[in-house]
Amino acid sequence: MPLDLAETAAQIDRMALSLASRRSGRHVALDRLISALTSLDPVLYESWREELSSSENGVTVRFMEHPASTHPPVGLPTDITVAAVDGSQIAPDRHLAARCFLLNLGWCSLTYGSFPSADLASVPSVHARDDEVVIRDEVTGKSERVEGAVLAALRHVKELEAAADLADRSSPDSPTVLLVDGPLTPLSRSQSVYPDFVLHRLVAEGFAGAMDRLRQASAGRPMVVAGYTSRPAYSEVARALSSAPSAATGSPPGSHCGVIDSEIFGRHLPDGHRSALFSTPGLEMEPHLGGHDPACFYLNSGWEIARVELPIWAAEDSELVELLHTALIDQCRRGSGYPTTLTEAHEQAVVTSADRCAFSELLDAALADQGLVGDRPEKVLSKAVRSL
Amino acid sequence: MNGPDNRPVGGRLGEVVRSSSTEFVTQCYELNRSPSMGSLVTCGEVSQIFGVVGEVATESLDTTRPLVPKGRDLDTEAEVYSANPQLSRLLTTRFTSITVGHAEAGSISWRLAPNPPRPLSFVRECTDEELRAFSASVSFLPGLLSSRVGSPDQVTGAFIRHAASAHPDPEEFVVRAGRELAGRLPGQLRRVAAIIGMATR
Repeated sequence: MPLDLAETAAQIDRMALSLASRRSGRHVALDRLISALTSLDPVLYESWREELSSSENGVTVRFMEHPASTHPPVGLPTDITVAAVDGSQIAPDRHLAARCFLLNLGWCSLTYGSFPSADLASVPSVHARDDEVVIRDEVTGKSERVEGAVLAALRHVKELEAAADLADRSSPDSPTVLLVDGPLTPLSRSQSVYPDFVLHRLVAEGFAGAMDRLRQASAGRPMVVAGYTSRPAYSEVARALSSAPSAATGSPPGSHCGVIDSEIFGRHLPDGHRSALFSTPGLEMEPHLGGHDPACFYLNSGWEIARVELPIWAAEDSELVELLHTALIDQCRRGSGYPTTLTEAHEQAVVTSADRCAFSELLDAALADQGLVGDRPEKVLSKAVRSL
Repeated sequence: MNGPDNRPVGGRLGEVVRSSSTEFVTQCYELNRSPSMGSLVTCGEVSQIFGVVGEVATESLDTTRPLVPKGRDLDTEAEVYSANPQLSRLLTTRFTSITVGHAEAGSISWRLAPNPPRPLSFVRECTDEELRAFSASVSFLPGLLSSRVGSPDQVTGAFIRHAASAHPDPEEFVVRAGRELAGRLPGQLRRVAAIIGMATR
């Protein structure tokens, strides 16, 4: 039977009605949070934050600049290289003939200025070994399958390693910006509930290892790596502003009513400007980050509010922050709202549904060549041959 | 493999990406570096196949991503490319050649080859010497006119112009080509005259 669209439409209408009824409350909260941001006393806020950080639920935003400050872009260097890496995957599937997954890393490196050039490519890798499809704790014998968020995190690590490769290959004379899609760290705050051995493999070895290489490659030259999130749904700043004491914000603490950071900065930031830098110390994965904790800013690209994450050691260098900010504004202009290099890296990496079918067929054929033909699950066969 | 000046070796223009008995499509190594319409090209290492360039197209490699204008605020077309260096990698120039003959062991036949060019055969423009040798006969010209590639009359006219320039007496070649066409296109003298006109202008 097809989807009952009449029933679905009725449920969507009820959802829209419910959202509309909450809109006025959100508007009030948004006004209050913007007012709190603009009147925030940085000294009082920081002393409250420090006090909070010693408590059990003490994770909140630490502003690295005046919280309400906005910063315009500076001039773009004449010669600049902007590179991006993105990845896609064919996840392990119990319906496939073998337990394996595919990662496809795509990159795009564009050099502007005196000698314009482009480097676009993608590299697939199939992972099927036991130590690739499962992360195992050698001490306890516990294991975690590489799938879902763990696979996504592994892919992210591979993207950063590819970014480090690009960094090694780039001209040391040209200012260089390296971008990955999404946050800089491989696991979000909510996902850092994984066991320590998983965090160790993905974050301490994977993420921090790649970031060590990037830090080394950028030493003594204008190079910065960052994660770019379009339409971010974070509410760290909103939560911090709504929880901060009235002495710091001028208004009593209250709920942020679901307001997200991008709504606040959408009203606060002029076109092209970035917000104050901030970080969120105290995350569960912090001990694994190897000193590459992310710092963030929001950016009004002129099309949308994006969230930009860069390593804290780069955020402490104002010239690198300016280079990143200006390059992103230029990239968004060239890409009509989204960085051109990220778009092209995505296009290189994308795995289409036709690719997925071909992958499955290649897998079947290769296993058959080795006399390893498994039974196709009945469910797969029934979907392949639909009949009455 | 590139030559010392980073140009493809042996004057190669590109490689065959689609072929049939009557035509083959070449994808150029470099954007906008195709031979002009009417040029004689050749491909194949064992059996050499000759084709006349009938149509040239530059387009997005990915047909699902159409090209959109990018130069509204720029002064020159060169600036459009330097401001968007990725274009050189995302666009491609392809040309379709009408098969007009083949050669085995140096012996030219002015008819279709038994087999089309193999995919990824190297394609290059013919030298003046090869052009002169191939156009020693013009019996293949009516085949050009019946092709469905490009604008056949203009392609034929352009080929005659190219070939004539490789002959010691270009005028004699044009007259010979005109006679061949007139003989094969009875009652279409105006059309023949128009084609010859295109070959001589």
